[in-house]
Amino acid sequence: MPIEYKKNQANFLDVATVEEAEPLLAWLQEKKKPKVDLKGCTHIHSANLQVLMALNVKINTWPEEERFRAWLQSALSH
Amino acid sequence: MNPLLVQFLSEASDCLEGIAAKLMQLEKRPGDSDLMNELFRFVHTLKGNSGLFDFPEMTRVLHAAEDLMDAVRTGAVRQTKNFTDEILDAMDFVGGLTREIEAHGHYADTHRDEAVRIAHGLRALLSSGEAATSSVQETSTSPILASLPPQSFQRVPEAVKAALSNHIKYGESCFWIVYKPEEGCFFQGDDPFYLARHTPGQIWGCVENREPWAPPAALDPYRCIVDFQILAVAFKEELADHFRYVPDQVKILEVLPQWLHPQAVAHTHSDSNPASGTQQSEDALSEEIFESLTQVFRAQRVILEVAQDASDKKRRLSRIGTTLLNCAKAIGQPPELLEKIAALAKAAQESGDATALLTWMQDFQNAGFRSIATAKEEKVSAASETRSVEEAIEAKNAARSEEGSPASLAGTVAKSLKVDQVKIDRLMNLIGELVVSKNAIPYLAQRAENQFGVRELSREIKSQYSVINRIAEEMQDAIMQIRMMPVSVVFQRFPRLVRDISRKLGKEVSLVLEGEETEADKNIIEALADPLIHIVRNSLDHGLETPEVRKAQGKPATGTLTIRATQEADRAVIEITDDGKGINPEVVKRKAHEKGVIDEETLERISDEDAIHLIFAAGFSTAEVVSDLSGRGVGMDVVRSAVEKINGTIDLQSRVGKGTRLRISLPLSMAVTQVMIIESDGQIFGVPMDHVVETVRVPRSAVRVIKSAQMTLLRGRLVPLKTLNTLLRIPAKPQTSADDEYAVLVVRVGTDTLGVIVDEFRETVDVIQKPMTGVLSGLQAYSGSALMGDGSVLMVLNLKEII
Repeated sequence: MPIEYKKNQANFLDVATVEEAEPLLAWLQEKKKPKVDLKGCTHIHSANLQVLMALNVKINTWPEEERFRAWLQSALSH
Repeated sequence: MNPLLVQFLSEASDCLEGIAAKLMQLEKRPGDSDLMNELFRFVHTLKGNSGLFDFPEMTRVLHAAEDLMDAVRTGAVRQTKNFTDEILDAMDFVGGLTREIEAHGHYADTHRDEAVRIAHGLRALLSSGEAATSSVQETSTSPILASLPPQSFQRVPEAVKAALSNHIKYGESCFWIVYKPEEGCFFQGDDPFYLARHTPGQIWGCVENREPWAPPAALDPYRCIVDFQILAVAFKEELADHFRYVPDQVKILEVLPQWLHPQAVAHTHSDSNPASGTQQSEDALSEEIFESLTQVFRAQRVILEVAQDASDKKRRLSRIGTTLLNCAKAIGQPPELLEKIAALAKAAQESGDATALLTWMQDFQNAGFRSIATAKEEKVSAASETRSVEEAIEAKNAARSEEGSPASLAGTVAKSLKVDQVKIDRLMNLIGELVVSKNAIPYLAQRAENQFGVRELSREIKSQYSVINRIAEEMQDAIMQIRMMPVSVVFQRFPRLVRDISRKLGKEVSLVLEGEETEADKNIIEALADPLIHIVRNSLDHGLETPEVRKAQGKPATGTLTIRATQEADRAVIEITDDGKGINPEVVKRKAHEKGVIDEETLERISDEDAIHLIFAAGFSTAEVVSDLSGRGVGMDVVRSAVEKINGTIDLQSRVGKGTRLRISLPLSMAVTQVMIIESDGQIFGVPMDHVVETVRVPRSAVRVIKSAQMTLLRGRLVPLKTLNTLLRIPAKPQTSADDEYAVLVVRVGTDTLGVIVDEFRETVDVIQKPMTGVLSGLQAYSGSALMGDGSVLMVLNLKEII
């Protein structure tokens, strides 16, 4: 499972594929204060990126890789 | 070469030939919709097939040609001389590519610009020049406009701009890339973010939504509405190559010095990078050193690129490593960094892959030749990550190509002999003649006995005949066997096809193939390929649901598509079954009525069973959106006509929510046709047994005349009667038997049953039917001719045409 759903936190691992986008969207809508951990993540498909952007999700931990982090921060930090 | 590719090439050349011929005919007969449809189908097939391979330029041109033809076909655009010229040009281009692929397995990447130009020319015809200007990219930007930075460029942070100005200062080409992916790109398997992230020489990038976000409940995650902006220091060709699949969605603009703020230009690298590393490099490097380093690094990159294919690659790599080490030492870098350079250079030498080294060089240079010790670890993991993703993709591709060409195939290819079909056809003709001339021997025996009275000789001739007969029959059988091919030839394309399509559509499908060893005549198998592909595409596109929908309906998330081939008596049966949503007769009825396929009255009384068969009607397509896969309305009517052309039948069963089953029944061989011989006005004719339902004798008194049409009651059913003499315009009355009965041949043509009054029935025979050629080819009343044993010619009637 590339996304691990814990109580209020989704942990992204390795690559989040296009198929993850719908379950992710559903999960984020269910939770009041969802948090996302991208530490172990190496890539997320554009569809997931859109979902995170659209729902203005709080990112708890950013990925380790610098450039990837820069990309995500350009879209997700507020 | 991959067998799939070999097949593609041979089909492509057929398609191209067909396109050229049809275009020529079309020019003589402009507006002929049948010709136009055939032409369209050729291009459609070719485009679909090219999509299976990594030939984006070819697919691009064919896609544009297809769109143009579709517009001409529906009358949206007029067919002009220009149209023919443009399409011919495009096909010449495609032909050139296929020849190059045939020779080298791929084509050179110098064709990109031409592909864009041709596709653009085709699209210009499509929209009379309007879309033309918008799809041209940077070339159309006026010089004044180009000198101004694009609005979005202001988003670039000052620090990045400063670093950028340094690159420009030292003569490196920097580009501003705006990538606006298509909304539906996810369905084509694209991941724009991945593509953007891996832009070569990228120094900065950002992503933003091009329109406000919909509320979460209404958000469609699969409609791509994000844009990417990227700054990259790279060669333009490199960038164009990176974005080669989406050239119409990206704009690549060279960053001009005047784009940057004047102060920014004046800035030196010294204050450009706040992330400083160790003590030694805290102080800025002098401009002189900075410049020299930039030049050294650039030279190394050039060497690396040149070295890619050179035989002394290892030596060059080791030298580059030394140079880099010396540079780092000269500007006083910490020992960890020196070690890292040495390790990278060594790894590159060993693996022959300098990607990691190049990445590091780029990063180091971007950071203004400062120690990037803090970021060092990330860099390493970044490099290995990129590699692991690449490896994963490679492994997937490998698995894919393996699936496309089963291992068993390699064995059969090696053992088999490739023979030109013409040679087999010649054998076939010869054996046909042998069978016919052999059949003349019994007549000879009869003459020997009756005319010359030599019974002994007659008996000997007969016994010799039986020997020749046995050998001839066996030989005929053997030659038929040569022409037999297993359906696996067609089936082997499906794993790849299903996989690719289901991925594009985001569906999960498991494909079950059964009875691949079932054999049929080569012509039949070949004719089967296209209809089957259409059917499979339709099943995937319209039949099977997405995993979410399936789960919601309590079905397993993975849909099953079964393709089963079996042999039933002298016919091969192919069943394509899916457990998708089935065909809803109500929807089909409504659509058919909307499209004018059926009238109001039919709409009212048509049964559900008949309604689903409407999908085979010409001009019927339920797809709302024209997609890459199916739904241009060429699907099912083409399938039916293709199957009927080879004397096959097609049957459809579907239950809403449960799935659909298509059953195609085909003759095993087209070479031998069973015909019934009938006689009328002293002439004999053949009628294919496929059409014959029964033979009956009807008393003259039982023939009724209703409104000048003859009818008779046959087991409670009213059967219309027609006289063969009338149908063939033979000026003679039909003859009755001694008991005053008509000989009525009950035939089925399509779905109609009717009786044909003839003079007499004769035996049924197996004949090798020859098509009508030359001046006779204009005679639509006959489907062909056959030679009889006594040397006479039997004309085989084409019932569909004469009734």
